[in-house]
Amino acid sequence: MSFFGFGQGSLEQEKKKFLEGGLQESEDLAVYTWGEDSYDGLGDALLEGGDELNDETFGATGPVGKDFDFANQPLPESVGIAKSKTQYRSEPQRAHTPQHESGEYAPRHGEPSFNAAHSSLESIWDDKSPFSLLPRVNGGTRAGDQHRPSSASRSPFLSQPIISHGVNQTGVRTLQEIEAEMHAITQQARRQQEHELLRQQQIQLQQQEQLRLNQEEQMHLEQRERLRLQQDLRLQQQQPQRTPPPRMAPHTQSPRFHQHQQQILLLQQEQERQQQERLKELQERLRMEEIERQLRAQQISQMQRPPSLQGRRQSSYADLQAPQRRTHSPAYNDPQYPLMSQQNAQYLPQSIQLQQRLLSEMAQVEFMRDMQGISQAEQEALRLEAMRKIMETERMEEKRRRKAAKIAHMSRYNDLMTQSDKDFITRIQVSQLVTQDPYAEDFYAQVYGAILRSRMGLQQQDERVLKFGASGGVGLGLAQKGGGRRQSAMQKMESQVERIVSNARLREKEKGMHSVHSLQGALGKTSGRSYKAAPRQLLQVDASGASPTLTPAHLHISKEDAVRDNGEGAAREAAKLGREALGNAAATDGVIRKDPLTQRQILVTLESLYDLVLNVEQLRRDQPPEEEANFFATWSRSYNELVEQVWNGLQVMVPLETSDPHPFVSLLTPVKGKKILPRLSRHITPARMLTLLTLLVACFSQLDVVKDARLLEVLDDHPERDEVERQTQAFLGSVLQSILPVVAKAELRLISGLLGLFLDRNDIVTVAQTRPGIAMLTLFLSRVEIIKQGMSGIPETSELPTAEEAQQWQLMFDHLFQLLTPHFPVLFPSSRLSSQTLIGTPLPATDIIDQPVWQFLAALALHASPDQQSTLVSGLRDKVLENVTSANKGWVADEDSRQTKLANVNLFLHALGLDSSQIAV
Amino acid sequence: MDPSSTGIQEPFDLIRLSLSERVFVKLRGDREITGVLHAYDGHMNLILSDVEETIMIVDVADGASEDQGTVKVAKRKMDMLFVRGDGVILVSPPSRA
Amino acid sequence: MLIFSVFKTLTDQQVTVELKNDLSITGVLKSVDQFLNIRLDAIKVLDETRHPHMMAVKNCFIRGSVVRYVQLPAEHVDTQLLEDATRREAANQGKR
Repeated sequence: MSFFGFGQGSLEQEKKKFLEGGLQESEDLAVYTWGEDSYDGLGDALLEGGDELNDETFGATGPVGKDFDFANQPLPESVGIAKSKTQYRSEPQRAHTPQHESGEYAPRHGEPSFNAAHSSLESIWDDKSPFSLLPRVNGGTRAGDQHRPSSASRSPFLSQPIISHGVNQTGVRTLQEIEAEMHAITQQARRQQEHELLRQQQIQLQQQEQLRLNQEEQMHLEQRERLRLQQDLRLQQQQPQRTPPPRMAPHTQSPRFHQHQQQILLLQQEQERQQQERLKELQERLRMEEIERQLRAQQISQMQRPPSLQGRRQSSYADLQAPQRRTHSPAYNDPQYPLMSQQNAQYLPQSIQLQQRLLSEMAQVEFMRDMQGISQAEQEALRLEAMRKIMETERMEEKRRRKAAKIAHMSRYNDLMTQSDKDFITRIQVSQLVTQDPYAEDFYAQVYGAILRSRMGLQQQDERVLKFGASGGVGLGLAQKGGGRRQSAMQKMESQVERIVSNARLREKEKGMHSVHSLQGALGKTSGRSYKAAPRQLLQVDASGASPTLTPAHLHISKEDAVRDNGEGAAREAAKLGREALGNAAATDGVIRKDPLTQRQILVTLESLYDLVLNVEQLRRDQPPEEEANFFATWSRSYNELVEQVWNGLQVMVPLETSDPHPFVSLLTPVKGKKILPRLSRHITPARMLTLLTLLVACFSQLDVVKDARLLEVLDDHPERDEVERQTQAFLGSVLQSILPVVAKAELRLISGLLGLFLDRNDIVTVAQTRPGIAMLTLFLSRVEIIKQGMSGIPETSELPTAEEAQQWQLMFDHLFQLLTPHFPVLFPSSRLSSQTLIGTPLPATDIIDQPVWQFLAALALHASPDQQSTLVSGLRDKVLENVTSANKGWVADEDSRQTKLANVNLFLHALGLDSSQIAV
Repeated sequence: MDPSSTGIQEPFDLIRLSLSERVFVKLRGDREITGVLHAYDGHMNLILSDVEETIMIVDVADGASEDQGTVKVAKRKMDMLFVRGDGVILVSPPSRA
Repeated sequence: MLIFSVFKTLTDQQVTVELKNDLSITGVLKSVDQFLNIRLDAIKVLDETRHPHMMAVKNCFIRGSVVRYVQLPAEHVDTQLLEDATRREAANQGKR
């Protein structure tokens, strides 16, 4: 930050440039780079000593004698600096102002008036009035005596080196203070200044005492005028020096911005000029008033006073003015507030006005005091009081200026966007955030909320549940249970958003389905070239020649797969059709065997099935009422089409022997395959479901849960075991659940057939040792039991099984019983487990996993003939006894497991008409 | 309908195949996860259940060269876990035994 | 939007947020936004001795990007529905 405005070197350059007339461009740069490139290092070369004479120099040691040496008497620092700075700063200013503004500036600040000031300067110098203080700056150097301006027409440029030289020489103290100011805290600096000012005031008073001379009114005015002029210059030169905000660095701005800047500058200058004129007027009036007053005073005093009084009065008035100017000059030049003072240059005139008014008041006070002949001490006190007031005003002003600067700093981006711009962006943001189709964008939360509500059996009472799904859109509906006003604001916002969204929808529809592209570029455009400059395709190979079927998306599918699919697709299609014609139970001749589906094929098929199911379910939700025949017809057509696709996707109709495992069984392998079945079965006709069940029964031993069931009997916690457990749970929970309704409606004949098929196609002993197998068998037995109960209970039922059917069932049951008889004990997982493990190792709680087996045996017992029952009991005697004994003897972990054990045994015994309590241990 | 010809068009379609399947996820910071995949999105944010996390901690003893450090493996299990996508390196089906 | 949708249903549930700096915070999920920024109430830091500066903190707002994991209450997540929602979103994405 430049204190001096310019380094010595740059000033010379400026001059040269000015003379060459090519100043404009580099002018700003020279200012901003001061202290870096063009800094001449003079500050470092300063003599820092010699402070011990300061007191003497500044007059603190008492009145200075008549032999007061003006050549060595520096001005009070701040004033001196300000003035000298003003002096030589004004040079580049004047050099470029003509380019900046119209002629109205030039006449006022051009050479004539300046020269006038200079010419008067000489006379002031001679008569040594207190008002010649300022001119003395120019000549107030040791060298100044030799270089004293001899001609009024001397060019101001020529005096430059002398002036700055003088400042550097005599201003040792001043520079020191600059250093201090640069680094010290603001407060400290200001206090120092205040102190300094007071001291200067004292000096001046002393000077006044000595130099009180008769003053001509003209002289007075001229002096004032010159001061004003200097102030003016200062104001104006500060403007181009403004530190621009980062964005506004002059060279980065458009020409239009420059124009604008200049216009502002002109305006400001114009304003200032008017202000000055008004001030001048004011001063004129003030002066007239004073003259009047003086006249009156003279009349009053009636020649009682010596003639010098008037001069003294005037000088004291001027004296008040001078420090007044000095008080604000430090603020202008204070390196810590440059931005502020510059930014607020336009406010200055007002403060000047204020101060002027204060001054006039002071003058009046002074006058009155003179009238009453108040003592010097009292005058001093009053003066101090006045100073204090002035300082206070100054401080207030500074505060205000700082505030204004802050506002100006913050407001530089004001009005960059218009209100409609902002609205536009808000609309885009909101329309991307909010949707009217919660099922599409917020599916999970919406459905989860609905499920939860239905599960809890409530309508809309529960705020907590409703909260995340309360209203249409994402992000909305999250309204807390706030007050009513907030609520209504929320509603307003929602309706507004709704409108915005629906409008956006309409527009989108008009544009077609290019929803993504519709927003492209909405927030601004990148240059059109960027997307056209995408890399050009260098190689252009005719793709049609290579392979007609393999699109890039399918390239990763192995060739083997592709060939096989292509080659056998048609054959399989034919086989399927033939199979369909023959029915599921048809002979398996002529079926082309294939490899089972790969894991990947299974997953791909399942995912496409899920897509279908989701579509079907969505369609189901959109089902139109049947009255609207047209809509309903269209709807049911597409619905049936989808269901047909689902059915085909399941591959139930693929010939039984096509592969092992059958494709349908393969599809049931992953958990999601098992889980999709209940969702599909809702849409599939019962006849087809029966086919599905038949296929499942026929291929039961191919199921992963049956094949891997042995893994469940591994004792240690193994990941694979966990996986099988998960699969088994999924199978029992999903697959069996979805075939349960089919079995529940099946007739006896059908059950007999299914059981027959089951026994025929599967190794029943193995299957019966699995949980799914036991469950399946139990399912059949229970259904038959229910049918039997129906037979005995309601004889008139139309669908009574015939005797022949009953006999067939009995045959099947006998066959099953016979097959299982030697293996009754090993049906229990606990038995199998204990046979594996060493004796003594504690078994895990097996009662729970044994329970389905007890259940099955109970069902078996119900159907069994007395002979079969005794076989059953003898086969299971050990198992029953073991359970009852351990329960009664307390060989159990806790009461719960004891109860379970007994319950299990009783389940079976009750079917036989017995109870565990009857067993004597 | 040929099952292998439908569906897969972009990498995310491959992840979709693993929905509700057990997956292996490699993460930044020497972490690995296996779990059943229930949800993913375009950021590779994942929601997994039945999760086991494995953290590799390499202890380099003072003075030992870098590859001499012992690798400590920490494991832990979590019921249901959301994994933020920015930490995900890869998602794959676990190698089938 | 899917994950956001899920988190919305978990408001007022207890979750454990694990940050990328290994800090684990358990608390009641109060709110979440589309960036998956998270607000937690009644928080408790897992290893309090290692993070004494967190002892006085009772609730917090977590920037989504610093989250590594969030442990969710499994009983409040419908996995079947979640998979469906994922499929729907994947299908919608594919259409665009």
